[in-house]
Amino acid sequence: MINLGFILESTPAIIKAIPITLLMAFSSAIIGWILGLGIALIRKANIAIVAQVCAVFVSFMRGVPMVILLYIAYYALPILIYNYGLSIGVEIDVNAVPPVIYAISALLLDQAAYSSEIFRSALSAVDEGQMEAAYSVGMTKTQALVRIIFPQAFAIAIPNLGGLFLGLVKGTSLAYYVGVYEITATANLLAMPALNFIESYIMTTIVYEVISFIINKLFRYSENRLKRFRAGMTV
Amino acid sequence: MENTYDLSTVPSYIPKILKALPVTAEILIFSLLFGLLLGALVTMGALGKNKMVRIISNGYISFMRGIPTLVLIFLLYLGLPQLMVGIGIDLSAITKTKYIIACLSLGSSANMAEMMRASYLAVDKGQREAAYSVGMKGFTAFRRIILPQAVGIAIPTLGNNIIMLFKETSLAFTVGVIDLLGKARAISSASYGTNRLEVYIATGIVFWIICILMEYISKAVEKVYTKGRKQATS
Amino acid sequence: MESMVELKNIHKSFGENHILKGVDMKIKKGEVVVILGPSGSGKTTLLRTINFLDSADDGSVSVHDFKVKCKKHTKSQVIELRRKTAMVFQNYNLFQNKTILQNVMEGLVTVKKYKKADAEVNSRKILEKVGLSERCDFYPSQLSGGQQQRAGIARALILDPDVILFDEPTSALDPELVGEVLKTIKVVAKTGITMIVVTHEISFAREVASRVIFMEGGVVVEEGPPSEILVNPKEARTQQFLQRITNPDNKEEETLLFTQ
Repeated sequence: MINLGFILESTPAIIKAIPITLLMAFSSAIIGWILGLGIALIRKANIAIVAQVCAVFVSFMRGVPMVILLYIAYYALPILIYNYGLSIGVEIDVNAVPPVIYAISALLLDQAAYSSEIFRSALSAVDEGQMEAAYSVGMTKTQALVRIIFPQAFAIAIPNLGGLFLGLVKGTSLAYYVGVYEITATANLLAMPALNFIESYIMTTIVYEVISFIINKLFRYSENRLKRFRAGMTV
Repeated sequence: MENTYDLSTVPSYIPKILKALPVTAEILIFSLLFGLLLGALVTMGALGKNKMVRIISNGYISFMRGIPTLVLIFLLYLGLPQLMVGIGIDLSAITKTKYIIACLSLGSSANMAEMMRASYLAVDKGQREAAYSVGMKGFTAFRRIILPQAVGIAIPTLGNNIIMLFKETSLAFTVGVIDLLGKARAISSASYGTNRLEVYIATGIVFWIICILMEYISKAVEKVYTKGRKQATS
Repeated sequence: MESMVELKNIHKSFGENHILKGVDMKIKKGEVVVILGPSGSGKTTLLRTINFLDSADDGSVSVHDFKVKCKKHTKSQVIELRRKTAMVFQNYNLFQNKTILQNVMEGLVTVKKYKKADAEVNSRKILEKVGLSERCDFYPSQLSGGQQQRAGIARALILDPDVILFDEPTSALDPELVGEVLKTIKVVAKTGITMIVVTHEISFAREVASRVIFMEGGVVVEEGPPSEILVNPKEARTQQFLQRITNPDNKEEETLLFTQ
């Protein structure tokens, strides 16, 4: 019924696929969240036109399923890259670009949109008096944001960012459809020859559960660490 | 390398894709109903007195939150029949759509349960005490005082969860259901993939517009429902 | 004597609301000026126009011979002005993500570019003065309001500003904590630093102020030494205000409340 031999044989292959899943998750979270913070600041400052463009971008990203975004990135980006290459006089071999690049592009734009909403509400949740106090000791706006406002907003945002990151890790499984050999794709590939689906997916499930568990723990831990000063803050 | 695309053809695909809307709607509605029901059961378990049931309910929630929907689909659609055949049960009569509904119900039930638990706990404790103080019994207090306030608190999250669920219905294509995305892929492969970028953009726009509508409805419902109940939602 | 703070013709509106209607003020070095007035009189807004937390629509602000025209000020002018002043807030506004020690060090390190070690030594000294040496490593949320406000005073004091602005420093405190904060402010006042204090504490004004300014309706109604203003005010509006504030259980108001 369940082929234990298969599980033992294919475990190393699945474990080898974990780094590519994590690579996608971490790179798109890091770049996406920085973009998201930028979008949040632009929309908070209500900079004409740019803020509206950002709002449409966020709405689009939130309205379109991940798998469709991946397909669009997968088919549109090579054309864009190729045409850009021609415009600067270089013929780029887009077939040499690994598909993981397209997957990360789609995922990071998605992260930018969702995280911008989280950062926006977190920034509004920081007490206005904090900015005034920073000004009162003579800080510049940048100093005030970087040293006082962002750390507090980040602490408020942590639980939601944790949920977002968990969703991102799960979302990377869809990169399978644009040819990235991450965990799910590898499991499928292993299962095919002898139709060992149940074994393969049980393993996959365990791997994802373990990753999710660790991520949860990490975010809980940082949440608790930041709670020290969050206690008195209005959230 | 395909390098031809014509964005002006995008709108022409939208009506064709929309022909599959009933399939997506069916999946969405049934998964939503079962997801809510299952979510309610799990919430009761998680908030209940029985310690064992509590542990199982919470375990179920974190398990479902930890597994990608795609993996859940593969596990159930490809893995489960294989397992069942092994013990002599034939699942081949179950349609693909039913598998998808089952997977999405399970997946969304965890989010629904989290939503229900959070909303229930967000109702001020004094409300229950006040209900008891005027002589209401446990269930009456729940039905007449706690539940209406919890629902008010839950509406924005519910709207979000429905939108998430709607977006996840796009995974139905992975088992070959002709939903919106399945239809899009069929259109694209009918012309050997030459128009796939335009078709996917058209599908994206269809989802986007429906999501905007849903968000709008969710906000409207929230407004109507919370009229005069501001306290409960703040 | 040289004038430390000079306000000329300060005007400020919030939308339709004309809050400050041409206020002039000259404050000499070492003066402790207490601004009194009913709520809505514009006293807090006036204080906030000095360090441009609210920028006035018209007029000019100068601190220690550094003059900024309110109509056309640059960012760098505002920062320069803020570096000459410091403020103590009604709600303390301690940096929530920093410990008490870090709160006090923050301005020295980021603005005055002190080395961390030097900033720490100085900060600990100041915190000892305000009686908080035991609380250096606590976060603001772990302290009482009175302790937080004393830390706020230390944060302002350490910058060695030309003037410290106090915005109702005891209004948010529980009554039993007001005393400790007032005591700290009195100690600061004795060091000879220039201070502008917006408050409702009449007794504090009487003891500490070198000058009392009474504001109402966006203008200065009357000013002078506390012995005059608080004892023998000339203007009817000042008299009314003092009567109301020194006689909190006014029978008339109470009956009003119940008949309304």
